[in-house]
Parts: sequence; structure tokens; C-alpha cells
Amino acid sequence: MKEFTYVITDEVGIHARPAGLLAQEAKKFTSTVMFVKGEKSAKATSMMKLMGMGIVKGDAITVTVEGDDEDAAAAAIEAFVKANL
Amino acid sequence: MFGFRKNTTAEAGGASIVEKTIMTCSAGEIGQPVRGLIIPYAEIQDPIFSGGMLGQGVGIEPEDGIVYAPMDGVVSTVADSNHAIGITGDGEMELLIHVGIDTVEMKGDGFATFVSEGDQVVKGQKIMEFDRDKIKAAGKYETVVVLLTNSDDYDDFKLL
Repeated sequence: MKEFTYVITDEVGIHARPAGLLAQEAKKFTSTVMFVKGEKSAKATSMMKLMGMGIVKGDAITVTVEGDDEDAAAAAIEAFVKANL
Repeated sequence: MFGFRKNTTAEAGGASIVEKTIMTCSAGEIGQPVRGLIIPYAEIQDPIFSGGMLGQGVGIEPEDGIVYAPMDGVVSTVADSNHAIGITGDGEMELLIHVGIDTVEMKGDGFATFVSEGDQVVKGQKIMEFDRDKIKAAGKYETVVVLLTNSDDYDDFKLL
């Protein structure tokens, strides 16, 4: 399993558009990508569950990636998060 | 919080709009949540929505500012800025109703929601009001985007 943490710097956090784009990115891989904030967690392939996390600027999130292509998936998701969030 | 006109007759008429089905799939039917003209998804003034990347759906150019639940379900997300509501329906349908384009930037001004995450909703229930004048004053498109975010999961998804 791969894991990284990130603090959201985007002004409005994970709203509809970034959640949707993130879900698209996560669907490119077979590994399970989870976004975790405190007690809440969501599969990154679900746009609505990501939005339901209510992730806003300043929140620290942990992303876990587990599966056959976890190295590539973790790298892609981390790059997406850094570029967009 | 802000002065919406009370007009029970208009509201009752508005709620009936959900009886018009706009999308179907094996999991169920989705009604029209807002009165107004339905426009093809490709005409929505936002490349991400119109490209269909976030799921299939329609745009609605609203005639009034009342949003009704278009199907029975559980509220899965309410945006902090109150401009978007997600409902999970039968068969895991994940429907998003997003009022306006880039309206997240209005930080909730002009939007009021009447449900919270985890609430059960029934088709036709009023779930949100929005102030069309405020959206226009903010220089945003007021198109209501209705999309099934997991439309890819259904082989038989259809727009009507």
C-alpha cells in the first residue's frame, strides 16, 4: 500500500469540478484509492462521496492507494492533488 | 435569510415538474428538479460538464428558483456554499444537482438548502431555493446542471 498526506491549499477545496476530475483520474487505475480526513473516508472513484467529505482549504488529508498498479496510481493522484488542490 | 416570495400555488405547481422524467436507467427514473427549459448537456457553458466527463445529464435554464428532489433517496452531500446537492437513490444512483456555473465562488450568498447530509428525501420535496438575480448580478450562468455522476455504471442509461 502507498500513502501520502497533503494539506489543501485551493480556496474552495474539493467541490464538484475537482471531485469529478479526481474521480476520472482514479478510474484510470485498478488500485483502490481512498481519501481520508479524520473519521471520514471516500473512494476517490466516487465524485459524490468525495464532495460529501466537505474538504476545504487547510484540511489535512491522507490518501491511500492499494492494488496492482499502486505505484503509478499513487504518483498520478499525488500529482493531480498538488496541481489542482 | 433572504426574502423569497411565498406563493403556495406556484410551489404546488412547481413540485409537479418532477413528474416529468428526464433520465432513466435500470435503477430508476429521475424527474425534472427545476422548472425551465432543458438544454443538451453539450450546450452547458462549462467545458468539464459539457464534455460529459463528470457523468451524463442535462442543463436546465431555470424559470424560477426552487429545486425539488427528482427522486427518492438519501442526501449524500450538500455543498458548504449551498449551491449543490447530491442524492443517492435506488440502485446506488448518484445524482448531483448543481445550480449555476462557477457559483461555488458566491460562497453561499443567494442559496438556501432545506436538507442535510443523511436526510431521506422523497420525490417532489423542496430541497433548495436560489436567487436568480443574485446569480446574474454575480455574472454567472444560472444553468442548473443535473447529472448522474455514475451514469457509466448503467448500460441502459438514457436521456429522455
